[in-house]
Amino acid sequence: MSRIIRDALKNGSAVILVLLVLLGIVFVRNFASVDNAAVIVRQSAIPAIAVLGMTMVLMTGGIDLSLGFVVGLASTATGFMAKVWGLPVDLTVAAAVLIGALVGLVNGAIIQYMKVPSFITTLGTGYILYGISQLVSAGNVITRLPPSLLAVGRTDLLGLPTSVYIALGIVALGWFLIHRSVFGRALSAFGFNSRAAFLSGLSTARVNVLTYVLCSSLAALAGLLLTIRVNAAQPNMGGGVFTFEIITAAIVGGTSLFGGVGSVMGSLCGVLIIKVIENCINLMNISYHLYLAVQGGIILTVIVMDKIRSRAA
Amino acid sequence: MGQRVGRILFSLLGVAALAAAGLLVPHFLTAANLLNVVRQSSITGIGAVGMTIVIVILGIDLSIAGLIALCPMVSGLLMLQGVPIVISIVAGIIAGIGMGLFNGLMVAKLDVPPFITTLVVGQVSQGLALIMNNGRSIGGFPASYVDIGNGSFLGIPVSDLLLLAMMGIGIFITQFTPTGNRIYALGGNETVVRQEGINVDGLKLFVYAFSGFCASVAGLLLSAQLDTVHPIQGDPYLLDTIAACVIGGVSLAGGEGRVAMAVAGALIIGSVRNVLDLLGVHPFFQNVLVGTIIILVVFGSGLSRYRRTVPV
Amino acid sequence: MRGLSKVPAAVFALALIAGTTFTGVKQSTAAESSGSKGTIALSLKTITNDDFQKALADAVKAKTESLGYTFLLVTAGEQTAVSTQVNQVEDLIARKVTGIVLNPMDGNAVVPVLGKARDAGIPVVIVDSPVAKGHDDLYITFVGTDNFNAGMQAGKQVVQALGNKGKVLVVRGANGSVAGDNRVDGFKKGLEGSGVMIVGEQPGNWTNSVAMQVTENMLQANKDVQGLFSASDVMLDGILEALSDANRKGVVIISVDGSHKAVDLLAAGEIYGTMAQFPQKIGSLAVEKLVSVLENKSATNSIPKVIDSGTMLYSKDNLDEAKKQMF
Repeated sequence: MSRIIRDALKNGSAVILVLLVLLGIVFVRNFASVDNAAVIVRQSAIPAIAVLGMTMVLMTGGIDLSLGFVVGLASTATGFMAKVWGLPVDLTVAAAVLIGALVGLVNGAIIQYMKVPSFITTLGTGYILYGISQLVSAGNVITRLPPSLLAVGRTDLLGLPTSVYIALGIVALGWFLIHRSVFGRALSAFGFNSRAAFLSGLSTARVNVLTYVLCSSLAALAGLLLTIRVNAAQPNMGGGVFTFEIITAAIVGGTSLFGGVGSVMGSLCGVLIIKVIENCINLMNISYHLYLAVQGGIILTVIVMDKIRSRAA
Repeated sequence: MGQRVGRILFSLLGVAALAAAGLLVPHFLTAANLLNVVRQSSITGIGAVGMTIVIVILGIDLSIAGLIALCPMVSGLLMLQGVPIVISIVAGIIAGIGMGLFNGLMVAKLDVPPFITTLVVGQVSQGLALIMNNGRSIGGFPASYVDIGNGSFLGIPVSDLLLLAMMGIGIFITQFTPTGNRIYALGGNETVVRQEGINVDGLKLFVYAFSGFCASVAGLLLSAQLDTVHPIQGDPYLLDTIAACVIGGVSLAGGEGRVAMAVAGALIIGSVRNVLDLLGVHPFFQNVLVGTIIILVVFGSGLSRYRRTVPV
Repeated sequence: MRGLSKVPAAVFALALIAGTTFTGVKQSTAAESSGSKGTIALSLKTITNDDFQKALADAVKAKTESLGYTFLLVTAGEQTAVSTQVNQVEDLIARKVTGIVLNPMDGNAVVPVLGKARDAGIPVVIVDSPVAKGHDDLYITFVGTDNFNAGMQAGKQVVQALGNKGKVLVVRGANGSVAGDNRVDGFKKGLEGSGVMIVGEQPGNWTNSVAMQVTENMLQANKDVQGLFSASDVMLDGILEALSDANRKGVVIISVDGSHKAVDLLAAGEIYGTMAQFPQKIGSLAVEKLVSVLENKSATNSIPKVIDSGTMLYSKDNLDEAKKQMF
């Protein structure tokens, strides 16, 4: 346990998060309340699931631009399966995740075996998925989903919805996978020297493909939970904006675009940092035009401060 | 040698595709349409000139979307106030270079990941563009400015000439100056370059400033074409520009890539969209096809090769 | 090995491209050759998650085909792709369509391309979102809802429903959206001089997930809120979820569009009202006027420059009428 905390503190993003929360408590009215904390936690749960997958992909030196569109596809599919076809809940959930896994398999195969760079592959598949989602849904939104499905993510447990606990569980699993397993060691080796990864006994090809499978499966799960949270299934759920938010969270958390470096705690902090900033901007009712600029400015400031801090250390 | 074969094949593929499109797609192979395609691709193309060099030194510039909105907004507001066109344009370009220098500073001196700094600068620029006119677009510029976007010189649209000029500048810098050599060296191995005593920080500043310059020119051209500055007009161009570079064989692992090929990549993207429009393909299908075609073009040309063994 | 495998790959790529573009994904060429009078194209931003635009497109299609023309739909794909729309209209001109119905994403940006359409002899009707002033010669007529007015009516309704005092939240559309901005500006005008105050105003980006998040956050900052204005029906799902999560009941919610989704919510008592738009009317009228000019049945200057398709409040008092007219 203490090792986990030590790991977390070594990571600049945890320090940044604590700093931002303190600033929020002092300067932003209505920030410091249990209710508001619960709101932030609820808003962070689903992106946390998605950022886990992206972290893994980034660690291999790749990128997954189709993530936001997998969310949209999963959302569309969920709406159809749950409401239009009336499939039972467990089948719906399994099928949604499976769709994600399939997309990841295609991504991974194209990247690994056709040698098309991940940027282009996932950009391409992203477009394709968006098109498919639109075709399937004919642009429509499906709302009022069956209560049995909603219960998966919304059942209240100690004041928080089940989706939060699902997220926690997945993040914990992810932590073990990335930081304590052979697969995780292979991921780290990727960025620096794939020969070392190869020598560790795992097929680099399989590790690479598996990474994308995991990323898209997690994205699909996130899409399912997001659909439940909003009670609306639509093809443009997620999208490019969501993808960028996730990548930013991972990088703020210390994951490098060049691979080899990645931390689950860091990425989790990255998500929380972004959601805390967004929360404060809304609470202070900052001009809507400045929204993105203020958020960006704060992120840059904290990163610069962190760089200065690690120089001085 | 492998790169050369790749580039030749790429060009052959391009010619074959053009011929096929000409035969199969009504109205494609007309002078008017082809000139349109080049004009429509010129924004992405100019952005790609700067982006290529940034990617070569292992960076990325996500700020171009915001700059394509901010720089013409600055110029446009000045022009509408009666400030002479040339001065207004220079002001807009200075804004772009300034933001680029800021990016370079963050990356070179503070080691901030280029992804973060350029993303933020882009968002701040976008925010400024929104605030400067309260979220509204501006239009109705002096005729001589609008002519840059819509006029012709000796039968060739000025937009196309501007694209050629920017591409020429890019090629000159990368192929014919010592700076160019150093840029490619930097993308290959930074430590070695530093050891040789080369001013790496200065190089990075230059590269990001140049990208900012390209973005400002692209934005000014776009607004001339539209006779409008719409505060979020830059959005579609970010991914298209990077995709153009990658399609053109610029390696995301750094050290490789030619400006001319990136511009070709921009033309490919523009042509694909044009063909799909001319065929009347349903919008939902267009997405599916654009995605498929992008992947196939890169696969088919095999241009993107990485020197690292990482299968990215 | 790598070099050799590229040739078949390239051939495959070309074949795939040719194949997919010819197997039934085209909209109009087949019909075009079988005796239609020409092609009328509709250019919009998107029809995804936008019942209004969808209803507009359906109405334009129905009227176009009923008058013997072929319908072609072109969408820019996203909420912000202003220049993409301009490129697409240029391509429509290159394709020599017979007539164009255009919903401009930006009233200024389309001016140059409208000039090109005029030079090419292709008549244009503008719908939903107006073109910048001073360019009347570039189009036959504008048919649409006065968004500012719709917002203003909504504002007045809120003042009435809240008994002339109280606090309201505003969920805007995407930054840079003229229709959204006009509605909110109108809403503020409608509140003028009353005791009702806006205590929170954030962009919902026309999507449920973002609208939900900003509403959640605004509710945290404002424990005491009596009303809420949404710039469009499309964001209502997210907004309602946020309100329910925060256990706020009895908030007077009013929005704009008049879609069937909103009417359902109205019937269930979850929202107070929605300012109706009439996309079916807009689409139908637009094509009617366009065709009458094409077939020389009316002179262009006999058609009014602006045709206001009107707005009205749908509330629980006129549900029956709402159900008849909703889209």
